[in-house]
Amino acid sequence: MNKIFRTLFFLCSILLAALINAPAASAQTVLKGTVIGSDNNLPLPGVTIHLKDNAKVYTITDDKGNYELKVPSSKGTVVFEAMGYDNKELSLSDPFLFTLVTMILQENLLDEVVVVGFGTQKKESLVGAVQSVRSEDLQITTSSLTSSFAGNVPGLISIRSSGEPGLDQATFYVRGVGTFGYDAKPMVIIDGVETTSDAMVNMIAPEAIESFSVLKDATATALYGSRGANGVILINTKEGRNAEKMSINVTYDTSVATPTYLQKVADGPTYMEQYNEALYNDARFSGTEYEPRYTKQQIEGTRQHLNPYIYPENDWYHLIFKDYAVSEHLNLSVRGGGKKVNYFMNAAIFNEGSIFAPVKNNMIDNGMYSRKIQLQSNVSAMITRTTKLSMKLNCQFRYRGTPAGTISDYFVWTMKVNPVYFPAVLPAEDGDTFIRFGNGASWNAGGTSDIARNPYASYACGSATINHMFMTAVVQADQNLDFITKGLSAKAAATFYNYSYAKVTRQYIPFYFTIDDGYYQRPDGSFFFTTSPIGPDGSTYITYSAGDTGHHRYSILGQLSYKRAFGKLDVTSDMVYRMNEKLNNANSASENDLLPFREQGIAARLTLNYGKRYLAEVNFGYNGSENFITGKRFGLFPSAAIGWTPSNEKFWVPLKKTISSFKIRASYGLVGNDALEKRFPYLTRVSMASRGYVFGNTFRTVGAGYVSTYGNDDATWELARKLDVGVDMQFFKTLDISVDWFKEHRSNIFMQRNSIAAVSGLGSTLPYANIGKMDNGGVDMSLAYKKVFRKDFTMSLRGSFTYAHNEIVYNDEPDYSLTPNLSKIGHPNNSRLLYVAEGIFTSQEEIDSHAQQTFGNYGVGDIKYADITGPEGKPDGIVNALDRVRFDIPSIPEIQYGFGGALTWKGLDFNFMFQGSARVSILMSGHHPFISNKGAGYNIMQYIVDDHWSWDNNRADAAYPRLSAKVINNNIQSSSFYLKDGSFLRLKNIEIGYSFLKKKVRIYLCGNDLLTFSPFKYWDPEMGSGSGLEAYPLQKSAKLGIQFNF
Amino acid sequence: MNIKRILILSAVCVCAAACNYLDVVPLGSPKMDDLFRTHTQANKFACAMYSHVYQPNKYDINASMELCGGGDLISGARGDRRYFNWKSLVFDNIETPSQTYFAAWIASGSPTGAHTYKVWEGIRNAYILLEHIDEVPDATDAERAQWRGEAYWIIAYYHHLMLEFYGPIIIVDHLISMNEDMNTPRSPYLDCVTFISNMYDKAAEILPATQSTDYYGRATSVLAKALKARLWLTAASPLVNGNNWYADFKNHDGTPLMPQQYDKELWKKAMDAASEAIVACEANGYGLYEISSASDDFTRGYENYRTAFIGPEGTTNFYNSKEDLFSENSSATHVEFFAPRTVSTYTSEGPKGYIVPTLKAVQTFLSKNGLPMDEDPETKNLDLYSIDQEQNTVLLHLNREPRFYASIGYDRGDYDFNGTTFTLLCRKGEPQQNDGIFANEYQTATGYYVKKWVSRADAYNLSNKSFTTGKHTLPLIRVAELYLDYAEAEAEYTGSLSQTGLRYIDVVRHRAGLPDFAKAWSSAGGTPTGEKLIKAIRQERLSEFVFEGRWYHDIRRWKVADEYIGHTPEGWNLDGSSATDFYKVTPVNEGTFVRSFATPKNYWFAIPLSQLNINKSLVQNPGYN
Repeated sequence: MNKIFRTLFFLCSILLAALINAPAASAQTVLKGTVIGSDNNLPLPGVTIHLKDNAKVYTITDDKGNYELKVPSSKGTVVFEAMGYDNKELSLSDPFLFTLVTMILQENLLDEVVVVGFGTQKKESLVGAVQSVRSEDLQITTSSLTSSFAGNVPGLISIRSSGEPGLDQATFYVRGVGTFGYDAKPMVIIDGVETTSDAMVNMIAPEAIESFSVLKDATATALYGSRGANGVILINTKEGRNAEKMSINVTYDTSVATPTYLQKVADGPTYMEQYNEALYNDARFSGTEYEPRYTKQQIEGTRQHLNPYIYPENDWYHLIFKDYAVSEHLNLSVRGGGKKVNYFMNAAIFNEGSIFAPVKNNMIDNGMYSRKIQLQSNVSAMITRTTKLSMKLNCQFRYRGTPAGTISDYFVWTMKVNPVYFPAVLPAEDGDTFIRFGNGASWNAGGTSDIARNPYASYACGSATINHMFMTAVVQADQNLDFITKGLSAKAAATFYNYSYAKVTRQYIPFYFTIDDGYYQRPDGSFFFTTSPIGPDGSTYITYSAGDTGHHRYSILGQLSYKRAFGKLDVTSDMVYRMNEKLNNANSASENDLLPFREQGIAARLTLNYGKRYLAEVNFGYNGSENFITGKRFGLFPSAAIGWTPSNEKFWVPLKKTISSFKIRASYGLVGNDALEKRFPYLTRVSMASRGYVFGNTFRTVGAGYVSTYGNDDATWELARKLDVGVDMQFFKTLDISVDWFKEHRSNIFMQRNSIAAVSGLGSTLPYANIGKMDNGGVDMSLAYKKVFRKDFTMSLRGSFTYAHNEIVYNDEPDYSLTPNLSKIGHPNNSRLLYVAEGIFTSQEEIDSHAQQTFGNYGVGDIKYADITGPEGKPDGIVNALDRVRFDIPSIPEIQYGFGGALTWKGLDFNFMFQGSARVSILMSGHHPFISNKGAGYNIMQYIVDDHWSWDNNRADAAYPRLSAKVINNNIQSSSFYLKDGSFLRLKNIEIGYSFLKKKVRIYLCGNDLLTFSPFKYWDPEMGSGSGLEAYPLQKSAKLGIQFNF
Repeated sequence: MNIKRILILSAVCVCAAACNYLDVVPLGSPKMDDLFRTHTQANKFACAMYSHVYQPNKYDINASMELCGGGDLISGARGDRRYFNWKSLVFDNIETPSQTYFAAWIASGSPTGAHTYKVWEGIRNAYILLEHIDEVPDATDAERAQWRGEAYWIIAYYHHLMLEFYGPIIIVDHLISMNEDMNTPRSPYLDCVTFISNMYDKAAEILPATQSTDYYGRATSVLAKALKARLWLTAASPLVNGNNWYADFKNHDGTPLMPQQYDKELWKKAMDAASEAIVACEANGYGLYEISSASDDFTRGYENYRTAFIGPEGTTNFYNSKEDLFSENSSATHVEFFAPRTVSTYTSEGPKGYIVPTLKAVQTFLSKNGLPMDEDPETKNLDLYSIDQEQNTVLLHLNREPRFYASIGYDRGDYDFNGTTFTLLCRKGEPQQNDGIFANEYQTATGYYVKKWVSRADAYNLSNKSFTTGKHTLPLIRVAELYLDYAEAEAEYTGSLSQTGLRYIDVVRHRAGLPDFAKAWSSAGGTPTGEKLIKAIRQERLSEFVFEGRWYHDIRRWKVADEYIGHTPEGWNLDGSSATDFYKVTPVNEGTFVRSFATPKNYWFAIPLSQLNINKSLVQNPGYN
């Protein structure tokens, strides 16, 4: 496999070399004229004009679009360049063409035309909240599209929690989390094909993206009816275009990645000392005699590395992982077209390595990699003068290799497994056909496994290969219907989507050996010891297991569009019919999985623009889903918006120099969310599966049948009422600012009835109802500044800010009138219910005078919790579950922002981008040393070693309470003791590039996530709650790349 | 004009093409009706109601609070509460309203490893069955009667289970609809008892007295009567009959939940209920399991008692249909926990022998003359902890009743396993030792092993690492209990035993190869009365029901739980390799766990906090906050 990739890269390099050829060139003429834009025929300032063969001969148009250029000869070609317009080349042989030059506006120019639901709209007519982002602004320098969302796209809140190659997609929400129902995630539509896979979205090659739009408010999303409430993201890939020449673009880069942060775990001797301290604490606590588990001799022996087997010390992390991962990426795109046919093709190959280190002499190839091939082919043809037929194909192949187990486990084990219990491997003996992994007798009673964990063995003994394939195909016909009435057109499209997944796992059973008692040190200092096998027999062969899944989806869509201007009034109207179906490919036996998921609906929109000043839009979606009972399947979701552009009014003329553009808009409407936790929620279901009792003298189980779900005939979708008010402003024609304020009320949230008493017998089948309510509101804004100082010096700055705060308005919960601190109502959905820690007890007197804590025995050195309330609604001298309080800073950030800048000077370009999150919290858990709920003998993190309560460090503000060799329930409660501020600011991207050979070649160096600033110091704050090593760590990377443009 | 036409046309097209498009309904999936569409399905539903029965072995013996928390068995120092759930009740004060390891009240427990029984769901299912019985098209009258009776019995039994674990409970007397107010308060203890008793009566009226061999273990009228006897005996017992611990145990409206006035007549009710059950048993062929034809009493008693649980020699699957009125039918996974290792080096494979008898259990058994060891003139003056040189074991292990030898595996005593009978060697360095290495977790904590549930036919194959075990029943109630119920109730009510009472207690003693009660006591100062009689009957009961989970209920009922499970239990000195060193009474090493059984708190489970939050009429059990 690897070989094939190498060959591919090699071949592509040869191709590139062949493509690079630089032509050459040579009377003095003065050219004068004006440049105007095709869109409004107004003069264009700032247009760069230069000789094609000699970029040093150049000028820039002034404020009125006038220019003057002295050229040395009357031969050659002059190039006109302006942002957002196609380059124009004029031959000096025809000088009169130079007096008035019209620059043609680029097709689909995002600044001016915005992709909206089922169509496009001129930006000046837009009244809904639609954020469109240029793909080049996403600054994608990783293979992960979604990870570039944070801070770049106002209105999106996104979080990354894993850096695993091929699985490093971010989770994102439009305007935060709007519901506590089943699904708060937005709908993503790629070229008209709905996808539910973040992984698939993440894999789209950035080079292939033409436009990226986030539909945020009711007007933008109501067309999607019962599915649009969580926002919609539209991604369109590039199409071919009628251009003078074909453009070919090749990029190759290679990068090195290493974890942003590595948590330090105690080494062997430290572990042993700390464990002894824990035993000392326990003995002192229970008044028994202290017996250290590790003798001085053992600790010293380990410290001096006397013998790696008798005094084992395993750095599990470095046994399994290496320091960095290498990846490479090649992208090739071709774009062009003529009068009849347009085409765009893109091929991207990613070959990503990982930090998993190979295991020597192993029966199985270990490690982790991800290879992705992404192919895009978009072709359109004018088959008659009025009919365009187009086809877009997107194929994504992803081949991954991983260890056999759950990836997060490997990281958790490196932190948690005892480092000195046994050596990771024992010396090989003659004739061995297997690795002798070390082990000891079990540390854990009652568990199913009798063998303590040897993480190295668990890693070595298995690997898996996983193949994913995503295919989308769109066939579309566009018919111009001007012959019926001017401005009318129709469109029909069919889309197909298929996802398949297959996994093969290879595993063997490791051979475990243990060092026997009775080893001794010889006089020469060496050790004599024997080993014996322990645990189940290992296997010298490999066993395989496999699994597969997948689904497919198709949809058809018919659309009528009408666009026409009646004097000063511009009218745009669309009407859409669509239906789609999803079916699982998997060989499931459940009827729920076998039945198709269907949706059907119509949507219509009318947009009015009077004199470019008064804007209005009304639209609606009317759609239904198969999920509800007959008669309750369809719903109507209307919305309306108005806007005013005072900057186009006569009275604004004096202001125009400063505030070049000013628009206010407002929208309100209804949208739905039909993603429910239950399929066919109206059905009461019974299970006929065995759930019986053993009867009779043959001991047979008889009995089956119980109600597994109680249905609700009234089940329906969630309803969102959305209000949005926005302002778009432009100052000095260089600074754009856009601000949206929004408010949303979500009702009908489908939730389980949590206020039903257990005596009803409904405890395990709590019924559902559309009863939840939640509010969400906030602000999102963007800022962009661009200034061209000279032909070869431009500067741009941009920034974005999103704030979204939600509050639960109604939640079916127990009656908390006496203990309102427990209620979720009035708090954000992702708020946390925690005990209020008041530091650590430092004396018995303090314990005696404090309320009684009810989490098992506790003493000096343990966490002290506040007595907030009691069953009567006032403090009762007892700390129990009633004393928990909501901490409102949620686990998903409420604020996300980004800012960055770019400079270009001659061939050099430089840009950077910072991204930050704020109002986010981290709750540490599962990091407790020596213990866990599983009762195993875990390791201790270095920061706990550095600062924990002890008899010598009897401080109330120590970073960790009393060490113990067993679970002190009192200290592992979820409490504010472990709640930390998770906000951060990071240098997300920094890039420097140099273009040469007439900008045909560019080399660049770029870094990602190189710096992070955060009050949270224990691990990368973006990885969030937990113990910091519960997923493949986020990576910082450096990348070197080269681009060719022809 | 044109536009309108097109719009209308397209709307028509849409409707014609796709009107039924969304009509996707899962027709194949079973719905409520399917449960009762045929008599076979209805019958399966009826059987499924039993799935919430609390079955100690099903959840692993090491988790069972009834088996390990009664003072007769112990599982030693190792093991977390997550797997050894019973520890949460006696150690470290850990069973709390927000962390209930025994989540009988709720459908899911909060700590990882908590066991749930969904008892209320079982009650709901019974009411659902009652609603649908008449709809089943092809059922016979007998089937309908069986189901109706079973539904009543399930309602009674599940309430009874809750009553045993939680004290006064909420009475569910109908199928609770989704929208009604279900936040009812707890009912006073005796109201609960009356409700359950009436339900048992209703069940007994229509249920058959016996079941076919295929359905052994299904509810019968005899079972309903037997449980009713257990119910009333408990209701008359000191814990709930005029116990001033509970003077302040009231509902929010002031309704007292525990009777504060001792009512002697409750013992009479218990006597009558036991009597009724015994009569029903005897009339329908139930009785004590006695197969031995041995001529000497000791051998006969030993064989009878031993085979009552594991079946006669040579049987693998054994259902004791004569004596078991209701049982957990086990696939004998317990052998793994009980049987000792047969090789001297430690291994985590095979039989683990780490759920073991306490010294307390050993002390409880009677002498070979059927008297308490401290009453028997032959043994009362002996130092039971001195070593008999010839037998190489302590006197405590000698001259005991047959039930002792049938139940306990002790150092130098016989043990049946792996197809043979061998002598247990339990001292340090010997095959059945505890090697003292803390990391070796599966070892005896006292020096004893459970013999009662392990048969000679049970075996472990060292080479292919697999168990061969027969299937046994773990009785949840058996006939012997009724005889002893009667005797206890009568002794409490009258202060002495009548001829009937004596006859009943002797039924149990006779099977176990012991002399008649009166005859035995004649050599120890005559048939006792009053307190001494009650003490003797209690000891009889503890010996008879050792390792069956009844200890846990009896010691609570008698208000003596603290004496049995409130302190560190005792065993032998496991470090001793000689008889003198080994036979030193030593507290069991319970590791870092600290005993904290609290009176009166731990007599009942905690009501889960989540339920107190939902139901404001619900009050917590005393001691839990």
